[in-house]
Amino acid sequence: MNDFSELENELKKLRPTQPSAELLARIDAVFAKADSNQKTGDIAKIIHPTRFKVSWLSLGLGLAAAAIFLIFARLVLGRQSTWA
Amino acid sequence: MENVANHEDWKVCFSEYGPGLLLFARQWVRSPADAEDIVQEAFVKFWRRNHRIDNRALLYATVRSIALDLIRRDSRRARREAEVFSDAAQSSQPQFAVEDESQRALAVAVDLLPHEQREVLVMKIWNELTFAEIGSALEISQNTAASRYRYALSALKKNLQPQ
Repeated sequence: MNDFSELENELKKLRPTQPSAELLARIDAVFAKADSNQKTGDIAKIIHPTRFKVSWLSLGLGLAAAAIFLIFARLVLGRQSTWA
Repeated sequence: MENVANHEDWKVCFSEYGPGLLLFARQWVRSPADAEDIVQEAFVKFWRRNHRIDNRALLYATVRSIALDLIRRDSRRARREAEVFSDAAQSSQPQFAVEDESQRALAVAVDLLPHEQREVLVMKIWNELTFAEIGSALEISQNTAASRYRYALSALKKNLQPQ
């Protein structure tokens, strides 16, 4: 116990004024904005795969080439069997 | 309370430290609005860096640093604050919710203390920092902090004695 204990107790009874509700709201808004920015940033960071697109022209050309190849192969094989 | 600052519990932390931080900020600026600006900036800065909540010395050092920056940034403000500092306590808005005349006298006596003593007193009494924490926040030795505290109490006791 020191000489000042009574004075210290009196001082502790003095209550500092409370922060205003506006201050709490302002801090809340700052953190909410930061949260929102972080979420937006997170969404922007997600890598979305490019959609699979069918190129009808390429598919048509490919099928046509395959059909020509098959017809040609059949003709060649047909001649070979005739010669044999 | 957890040691490490989590995202959602800042309100719990602020409800505990807010009044003391505000009182501490008002040792540099007498306007409650300016003090709240300082506390807001310091608290948000501290929280975002996820400092340990028990590192109170750093929290108060942040408040002090921002308050001093604010004063340095605006020399007119500094002059104005200096005038307020030298003025009597009646001109400033109350820092305490006083209940009676004896408390009012005590609050005025605290306000009239030299700045160096008052800031140590505020940190010790209303923020319950240790002398080591006070020394760390104010960049002074623990012994100097303890000395300033004793001088403050002596001055208060002397001022409050009936003439």
